[in-house]
Amino acid sequence: MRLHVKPLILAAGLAAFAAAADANTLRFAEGQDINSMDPHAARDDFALSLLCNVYEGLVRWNADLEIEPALAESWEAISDTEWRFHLRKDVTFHNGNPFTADDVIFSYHRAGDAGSPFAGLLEPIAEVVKVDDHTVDFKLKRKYALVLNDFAGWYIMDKEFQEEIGSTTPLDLSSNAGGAMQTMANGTGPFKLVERQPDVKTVLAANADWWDEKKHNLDEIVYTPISNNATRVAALLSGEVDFIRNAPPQDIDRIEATPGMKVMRGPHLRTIFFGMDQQSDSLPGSGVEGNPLKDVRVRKAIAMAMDVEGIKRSIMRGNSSPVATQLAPQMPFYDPALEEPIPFDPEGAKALLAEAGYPDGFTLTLDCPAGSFINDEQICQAAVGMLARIGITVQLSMHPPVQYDTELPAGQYSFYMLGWAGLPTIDPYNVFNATVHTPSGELGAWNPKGYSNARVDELIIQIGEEYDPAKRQEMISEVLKTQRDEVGKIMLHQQFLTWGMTDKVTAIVPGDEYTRFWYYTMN
Amino acid sequence: MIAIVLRRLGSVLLVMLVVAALSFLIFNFLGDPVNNILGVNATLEEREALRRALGLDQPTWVQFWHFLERAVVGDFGISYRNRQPVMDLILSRMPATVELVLCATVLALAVGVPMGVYCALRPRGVLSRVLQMVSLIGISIPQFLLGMLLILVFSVELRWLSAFGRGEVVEIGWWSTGLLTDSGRKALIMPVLTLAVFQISMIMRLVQGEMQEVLRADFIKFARARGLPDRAVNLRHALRNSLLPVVTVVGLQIGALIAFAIVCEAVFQWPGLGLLILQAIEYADFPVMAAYLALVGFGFAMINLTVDMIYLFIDPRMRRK
Repeated sequence: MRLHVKPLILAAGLAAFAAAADANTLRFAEGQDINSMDPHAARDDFALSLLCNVYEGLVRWNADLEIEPALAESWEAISDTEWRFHLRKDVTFHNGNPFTADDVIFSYHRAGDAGSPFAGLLEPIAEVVKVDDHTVDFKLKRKYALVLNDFAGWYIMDKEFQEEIGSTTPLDLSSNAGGAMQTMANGTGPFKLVERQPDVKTVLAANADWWDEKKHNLDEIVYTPISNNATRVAALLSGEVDFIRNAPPQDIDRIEATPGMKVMRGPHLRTIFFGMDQQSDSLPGSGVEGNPLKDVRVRKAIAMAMDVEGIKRSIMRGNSSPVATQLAPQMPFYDPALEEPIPFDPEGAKALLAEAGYPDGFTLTLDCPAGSFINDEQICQAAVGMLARIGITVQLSMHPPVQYDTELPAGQYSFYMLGWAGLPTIDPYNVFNATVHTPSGELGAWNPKGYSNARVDELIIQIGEEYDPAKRQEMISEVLKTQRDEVGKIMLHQQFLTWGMTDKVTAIVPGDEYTRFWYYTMN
Repeated sequence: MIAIVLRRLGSVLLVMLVVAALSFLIFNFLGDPVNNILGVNATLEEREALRRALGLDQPTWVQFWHFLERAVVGDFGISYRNRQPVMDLILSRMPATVELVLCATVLALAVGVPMGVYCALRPRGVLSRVLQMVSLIGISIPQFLLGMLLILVFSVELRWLSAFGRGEVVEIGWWSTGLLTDSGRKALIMPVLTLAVFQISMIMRLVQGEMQEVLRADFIKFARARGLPDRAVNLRHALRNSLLPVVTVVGLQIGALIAFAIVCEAVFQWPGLGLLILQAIEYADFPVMAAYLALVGFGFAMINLTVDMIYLFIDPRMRRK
């Protein structure tokens, strides 16, 4: 060991010297690269969680996940279906172009026209009208409560610049136009793009002309994708990067035990649950007549068999919190009256199964993604053992995420793991319309063959249209209570975020996983 | 002669067709890129519309036919993930992999051949036994583990080398190289070592085996009887005669390494073809995967063809067949 001391001191000295010379450079590593600098290229929360530093919307989420003005300094409702936004006047894009109403209208068409990935997000909007250079009216197709929420995830681009580089549609896979947005970006945000080598490195510099008061003290951000978990952690431990988002669970202790390193934690908006086929009349391969999952007693028995505290202790290493409903406590309209989960009671579960007519249990296939959620594989393996205790034989079927995300919405699974965070809307409406509403057209895409209740469906539509928070709360609570009482999903837990970084960095860890670097400081 | 060459070329085309067709069949089981492009919140109609726009709603054989039509003129389409022409993407990643593989091969030859010669000359020596044991480990240790061990020692503990990436690279035309900068050369050390350890062990064992065989041959005995110095007998006569199979195997290995440096590239975040194909698989980026597989098939077929040609020249008996 003695031999190693000298080089270490030397290296540490060099590193300290280099850091001083570089001013405040935040070196940031992540498991993958963003696919494009185009904020309209995909409704991909991962990309937007980084691009939010370069582009801005009319409104934005603050550190506490509340809506605050961004490119619009104020707004008012003219009527139930008409909103007026007053744009900030002193804003320029990174290339110096002034920000005006024309850019808003351009960005609306670029992101929202048919065939664009954001068409669904902007679907409630019928028309955008320029009143003057800094005032824009949005006419809605119907009453819609989440205009502001959705606008926080829709970023404004510079009309002039985009036309210049020939990128006026985001999803052009037939020509090379999309390639330009690989390495170019012109937003209004706190950081601007200075260098980009796709899949190798992306360098952002602080925007000196940013309209907002600067709270961060970063001069530069160097973002490097490192796909291998162990290598990424090694890069942090060796001092080559300062910050990694989502430290792998098995490495958290190691990072915390290393001098000069820390792990910042925060609750994630995402809750993890099992969804079930509650529509089919029979469950192939179950070994019993009919579909046992249609019986609420069976669903409750499954929920009672899940030792969620045990999962928290031995698999999540404390980094999770059991939940009773799909809403994480940090979600708006969370109802504390409904926070008691179904208690773990394998004996009671067995009795309930017998009462439902399955004293000898049955067979289920559990479909599970490998790598979509924290420790998803281990949780599913644990569930196999837990359900075996009450007589349900579970066959586990693991899938790579890309296959999983195709087959699940197609209704190919009858018992499956899913997690939902309600992003980017951050409202129960998004959670409900995707995973609770009966599948029909645009709604219930992630609830195939699943829970269906006409009253709940009706409430969900109203939740999307109701402006009055008190009335919304009432309806949201009713949906949650019905879901809980009828065990529409087997609820497991809320994930925690665990971000590894050096002591020099002070970050915020918001529940939507966005890296809002304008709140970060380094010393 | 020409007939043989033409027949071989025909089989190259057939191999590539089969590879491309197989890759298209695999796509059906891989999942749907539409999800990745549109995100989880996309509606069913949006998914269908994009699927139609990309031609993914058509039967596999129609998609395959369209792919062939365009591939013939070198157009492999646009990557779903990078939104760049696939050929540009592959060409921009190629230098990193080629540089890695060539450096590893040079290192493997420079170390493996002398070791093999030494072991052949002194098969019972202590050092030979040690080398043989070490080479056994070299052949059996998984690349992934070796790479992680190197990172743990040289990056995390000693902090001498970077755990990831290529360092600074210099662009020369469309080629990029890390050999001209300090950080680029340092970045090569661990990945090259990881990739070379297996090669070193294999070359050493190959040289040793071949040379021991040759050393027993009559012409070596005759050379010794002529009173030639040991150096000349061992290096000029014995080694030369044992190198031919080594060259063949190393040549084939270069092809294999370029195609399968995936593990090494993933461990060190080496921005080459291996990493590209890995990311393409995760994203279901069909155009990249199809082009990559077809090109790898082409590369292997060409290497085999070249080897066959060389045999034709070396061995006149094959020409008569």
